[in-house]
Amino acid sequence: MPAAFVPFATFCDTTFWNEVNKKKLNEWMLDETPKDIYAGFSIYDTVGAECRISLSYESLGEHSSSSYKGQLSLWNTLEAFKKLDRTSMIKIYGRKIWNSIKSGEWLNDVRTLFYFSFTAFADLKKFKYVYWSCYPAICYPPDIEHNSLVLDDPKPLLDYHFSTGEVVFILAGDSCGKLSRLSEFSSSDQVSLVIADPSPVESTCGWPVRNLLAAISVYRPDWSTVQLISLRGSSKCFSHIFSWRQVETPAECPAVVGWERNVQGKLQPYSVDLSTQFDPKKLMEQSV
Amino acid sequence: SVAEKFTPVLKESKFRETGVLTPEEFVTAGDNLVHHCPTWSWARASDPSRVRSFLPENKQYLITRNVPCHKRCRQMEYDQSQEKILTSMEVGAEEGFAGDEDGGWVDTHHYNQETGSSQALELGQEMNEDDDGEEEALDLDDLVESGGLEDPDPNRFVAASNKPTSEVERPRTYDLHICYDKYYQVPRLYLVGYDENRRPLSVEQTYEDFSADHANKTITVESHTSLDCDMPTVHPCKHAEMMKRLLDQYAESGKELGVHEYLLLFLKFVQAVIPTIEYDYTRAIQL
Repeated sequence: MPAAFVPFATFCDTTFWNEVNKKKLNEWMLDETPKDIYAGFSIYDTVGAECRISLSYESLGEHSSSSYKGQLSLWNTLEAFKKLDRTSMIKIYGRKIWNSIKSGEWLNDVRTLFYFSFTAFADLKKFKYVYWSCYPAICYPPDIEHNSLVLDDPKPLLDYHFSTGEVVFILAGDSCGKLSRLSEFSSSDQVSLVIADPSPVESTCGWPVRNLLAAISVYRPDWSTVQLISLRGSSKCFSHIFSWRQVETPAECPAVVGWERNVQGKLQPYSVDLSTQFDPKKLMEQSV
Repeated sequence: SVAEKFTPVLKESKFRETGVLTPEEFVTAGDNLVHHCPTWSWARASDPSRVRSFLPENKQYLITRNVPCHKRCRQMEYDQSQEKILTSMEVGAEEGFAGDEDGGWVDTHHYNQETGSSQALELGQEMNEDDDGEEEALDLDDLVESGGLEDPDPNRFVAASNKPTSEVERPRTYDLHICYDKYYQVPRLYLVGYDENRRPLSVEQTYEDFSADHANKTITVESHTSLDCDMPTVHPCKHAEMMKRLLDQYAESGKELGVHEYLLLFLKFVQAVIPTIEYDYTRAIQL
């Protein structure tokens, strides 16, 4: 079966925008340079057909083991937000990930594969926000096929994930270990990769698996298959076998996709009006 | 709140006598909830000034995200009032809640007969609203991409859609927060909703998901104990009394409920206020 991957969907709660309001007014002001941002995910979701990403007040500060690091680009004008050359942007993000893959950086810091971008415009007078996330996925290796089997006992894997905070690790025999130990194995049937998978769709892996497969196929050009366990907390865990067509590793980054689509499947930014939550005038009216 | 500021922290365990909790007991019950239902997790205050010293810094409140809510409360009421006439109509798939109002602490008269007649029309309208739910607050027309932004992507998962209406496929979702209310000495539930298009719900929209009996009385909008934000919350003034009554019911049937199970029971009882939010409390505790 040709492989499918469940895309990300961004959920920003009011505490996130509240934090953006405060930082923009007091700290960043007109500074448009990108800021670090952390997006939470959960391996317990069983609802919907997207990998849910949560942005909250924590996103601009702390990060936890269940978050991805990305970059927030907050523009001063709606014009600037609209004018962004998103085709070039995603290529730049893709190259960044591709560099991590080529250099082997991902083996020590796997979150570099899951890098994302959050572009936004915040109208702090009207409390209206426009935003559009990009979760770059490298379309590589070619012709990925996929089969899956239910995994019997994921408990030791969950324990390892929670005790170490590692989002990708390896399983060889009965023991888990750091991803960087992948080099110890010469054949793809000696080792499984385990990924904390935010996909809520049973037996279908989430978006982050794509860049992981790209990384493995570049790291081990002699492999054309890999075993990958999609680790979930609330639903069944599956062990997947992905296989692909072996080709010579391209010098340049292959095609990249990942601008978020809306619920209708269109490539389009989101807009949200929080004036009833934030506007002091409206709040006054409500409380009367 | 001011009253809360001047209320001393409850030190002695009184939960069996009066249904209240000490902060330590709240932490014990929270740990147990997280252990049994790992979709819940502890969270920190949004900034150091909001840290409440009587709770551990990393256990200021509990949070769970992405709880689905497939229908509005009035739709559920509609099912009920029309049940005899419209047995063949598959109006709602989730009947589980309606049958669960045992225990004597749920008001059942909120199935208001008067609203029945106009409901069919309203439901139709709502679906239309959902379909064009993308009205843009800001002019983004020139941003809409009709292709060209990205190469086609055959590996993107698309849910098979065999259901015609949008509502079933795209539920509202809620984040639930449980804080400790120092004044009432009980847990307090806050709710953050998202619409079908993943945007935060306004307070008014949130009211659609509370049972009519509670929407204007029990639900208030108040500042979160640990975050710089106002949110709808189930007012805790009756919580201790309710919990006491439930604990007594337990005792009568010969079961002793430990304080660590308090939050599991608490979630079952707040379900009465927010009946359409499909929090799976059944897994948590059996009454």
